[in-house]
Amino acid sequence: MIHPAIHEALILGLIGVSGVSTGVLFGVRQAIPLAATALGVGVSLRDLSAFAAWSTSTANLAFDYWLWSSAVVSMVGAIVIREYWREFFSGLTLFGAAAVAALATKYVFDIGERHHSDSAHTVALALIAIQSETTDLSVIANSPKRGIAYPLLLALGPSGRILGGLTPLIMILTVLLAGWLAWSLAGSERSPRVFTISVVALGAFSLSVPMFRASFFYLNGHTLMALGLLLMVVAWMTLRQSGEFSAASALILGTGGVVGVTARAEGIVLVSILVAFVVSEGQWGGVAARARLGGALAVIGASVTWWFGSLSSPVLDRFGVSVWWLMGLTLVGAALASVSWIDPLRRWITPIAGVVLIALLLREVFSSGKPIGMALAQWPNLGLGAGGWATAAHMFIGSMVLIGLTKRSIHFRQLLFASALVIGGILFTKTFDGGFGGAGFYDSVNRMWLHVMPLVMTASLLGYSELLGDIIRQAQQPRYARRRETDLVISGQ
Amino acid sequence: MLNRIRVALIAIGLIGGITLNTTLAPQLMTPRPPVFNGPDIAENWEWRSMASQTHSWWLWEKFPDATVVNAGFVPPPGRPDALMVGMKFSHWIDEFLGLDVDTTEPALDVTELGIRDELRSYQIVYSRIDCRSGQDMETRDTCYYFVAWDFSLIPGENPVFVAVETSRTLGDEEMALVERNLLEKISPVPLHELHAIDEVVAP
Repeated sequence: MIHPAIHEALILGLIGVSGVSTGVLFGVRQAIPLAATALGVGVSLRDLSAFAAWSTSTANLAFDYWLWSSAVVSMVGAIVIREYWREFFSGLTLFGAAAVAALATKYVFDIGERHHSDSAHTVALALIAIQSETTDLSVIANSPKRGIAYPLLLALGPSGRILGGLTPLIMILTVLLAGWLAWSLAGSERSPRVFTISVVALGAFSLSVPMFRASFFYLNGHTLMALGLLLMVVAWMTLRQSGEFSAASALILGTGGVVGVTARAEGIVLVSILVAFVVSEGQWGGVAARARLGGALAVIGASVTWWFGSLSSPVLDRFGVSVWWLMGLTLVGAALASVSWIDPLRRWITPIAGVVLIALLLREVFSSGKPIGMALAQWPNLGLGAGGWATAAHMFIGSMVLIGLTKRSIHFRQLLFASALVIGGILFTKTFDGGFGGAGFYDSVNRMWLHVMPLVMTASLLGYSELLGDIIRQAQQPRYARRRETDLVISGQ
Repeated sequence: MLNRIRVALIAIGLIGGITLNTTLAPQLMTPRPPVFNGPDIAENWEWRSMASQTHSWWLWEKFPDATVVNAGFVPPPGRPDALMVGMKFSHWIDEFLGLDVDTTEPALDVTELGIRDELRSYQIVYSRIDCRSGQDMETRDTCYYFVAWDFSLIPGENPVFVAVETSRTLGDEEMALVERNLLEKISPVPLHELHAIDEVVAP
């Protein structure tokens, strides 16, 4: 019997190889997005292979399906991407380094988890129901709120043990991806020195926030969903920057969406918000780009439908829909989102989504009977630090006010807009349970702020870099001007 | 100039924030070893207290053939309209693991027998569990919870654990699973004469 750490390393290694080769196959070339996409692909493969096993009454083969599908993807990738072996190895090396660091937190540094009752339930679900490959799927079906992707991944651990290194790995890759996205969005005027200063400043502050530190070791699906949403934003921002929706963007959008909708139930709403941002973009020139968009959206919708369908989930009964109806709606919606007929309407999609969301939230607040109490429900968590966020919210709002909007890039403004709508989406999803949550770490809204944390980090990093860049440019301009005056004087003599 | 002021204010905010975050703000992590499975959860008080829905997992690992009785969260006997009382021990895990849990009756009330301390001297594991200790506890919450047995009394096969309420003092509500031979030895009253929580007793 091999040591559990070796077993975990092998499992993470297979996730890395299959994910990175898929990323390279679709045209992702840079190490950080490759490594993060690899985890997204790994989650998607695990999800879809489990759904296949459950829906074909072969639940006892769920692990085998994942193993073989990952192996096949790895082999196909290795054959097809030979000419990009440098990119493959750079992505795999980064993924491997992150995995080793994640495993070291458990097996070398012996760092325990942040947890609460959902965590215990998730461990039990992963080990007792999923790892044992039970054919009684009712229990797995009865936990839709907590998602399926995270326990499915935890169940890949050694026999009777969860995949302990997974949780830190998710956050390591998420933070790396947020930094990479901010660097990419800083554009051609970016300065490594300015960006480094911004990273150090934001990094030091983030490490002082209790919730940020805990998120590396928090056993729940929240950080997985944060990664899914960030991947979607990467796809969206790549589309904005390059003006084309490449196969790489489609892969990142698709995997991010699948991760998001299967990580937790509220992911369906939050993923829909980010889909609205992508679909609202105007540059869908060729048929290929439209087909990629339709394909990515169809995969996202089909995965959540398949999840509920394969388990005969009570969610379907609650909303009175059948699997086929939901699948049809998904495919029609994906097709509609990618056709040219709606091009004139695209730019209105996000403003309309924003207005509808605000209207829904206001209706909840004013119909609650205690509008002020409801509106301030999260004040103890975000204002007084009860939820573990310390001064993060104060700092974010203060920074955004000081950074300003008008002189900043469109990417910065769009990131802020997306963050605001995701925050609204988080509050909206909580209204299905009633209210906007309560005080303390255990409150689900308080924990759901983790979903938007990478977007907020990216926006902050970009804003700091742009502001510092402005100062340096301003400082350099007069000097050039003075030198030119001197030159003129000298030449005049 | 304005941008310099902005950057200076952000820098001051970051430094002040870091100071507050590390000194005054409530912290979340405390040093503890990692958890990989059920036994690891049972090893540590904080995890056990959060694992309020997975107690049967722990018991099954100790006694796979155990039976648990009086583990219901139901109205008290004879009072169908009263609030449900007892411990929420039963969970989906029982069925998976094959643990025999009888949930038809709520826990037996031993709060007035003066045996709490003696029972606790046999406790093997201490934790918290979802419960309602009586009609006074209008909002269901959690109680302290322990499992107790005596190694010299426990049968080699099919041990039976009886759910009992040991304290209903506000803020100190406590329930327990006590192995039947141990409970019979300690209880001054025969087990069949013990009443369930809030049970109506005929005059």
